[in-house]
Amino acid sequence: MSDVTQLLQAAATGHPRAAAELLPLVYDELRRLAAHRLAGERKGHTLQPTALVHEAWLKIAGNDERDWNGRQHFFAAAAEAMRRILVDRARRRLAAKRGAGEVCLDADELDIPAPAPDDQLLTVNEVLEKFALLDPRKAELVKLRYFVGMTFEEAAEALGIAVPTAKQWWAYARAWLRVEMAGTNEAPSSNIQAPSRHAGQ
Amino acid sequence: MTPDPQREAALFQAAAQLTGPARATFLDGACHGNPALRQRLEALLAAHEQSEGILAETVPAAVPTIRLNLPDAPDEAVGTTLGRYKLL
Repeated sequence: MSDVTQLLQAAATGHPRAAAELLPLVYDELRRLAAHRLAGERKGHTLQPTALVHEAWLKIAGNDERDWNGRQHFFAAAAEAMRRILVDRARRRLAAKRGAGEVCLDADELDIPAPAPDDQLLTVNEVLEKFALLDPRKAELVKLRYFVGMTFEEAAEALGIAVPTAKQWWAYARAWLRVEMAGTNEAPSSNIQAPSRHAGQ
Repeated sequence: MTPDPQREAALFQAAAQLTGPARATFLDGACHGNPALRQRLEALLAAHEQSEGILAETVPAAVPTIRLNLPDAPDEAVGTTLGRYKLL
């Protein structure tokens, strides 16, 4: 854990590569926790990603839990890690459905509930990547809420913003993503469909 | 794509808090001479007002209810929150 703590401190002081190096360690920690939680006596129980992320933070931060700078970097890395876990799993499951050969899914991933059906999750992810180019902070909020399942209060704290601000950011981000997913610059129809299915509308 | 995301976000936030004629008047002023901006804001506002669909507020609640069989849960877990759930 000292590696992660050092990286968090480095990231907090603006060290350029620290945040990138943090991600695989956080990713591994989340997966380790997920596997540990599901082993043996914990049978019959599924995990909310939020719980995993909070638990990983407590474990990593220890006495430094109140270090707000490090905390924000950790949650950003955790949200990104969770996004990758869920997106990778959705892609593999869809590939399996299309008969692309045998797919090996890790047991520890199966019990993290997805926020949406696989195809929808991948569509949101794709559109979110575009949005992140325009407004990375609001995209972070979407990651925390959509992939980690955080409430406004939790996400606001993770980002270091006020709850009303988080709600405003969410409203705009959600509208932006919905319009983008509808594939046109008109109001989305009430049945959300994958983009570009209605060419020319 | 959005040419000026910060301005668009600010106009959206302001318009979203208005309704009916007040909103229309606001958009008239903000989008004067810029019909593309108006169309864009109206699309965003319509998407915002959709109660259902992708990223609806109910999405986190649509996650299946967790059935926890944790007779051996450690005492320190009591009182911690898991997303929207609090361990009693």
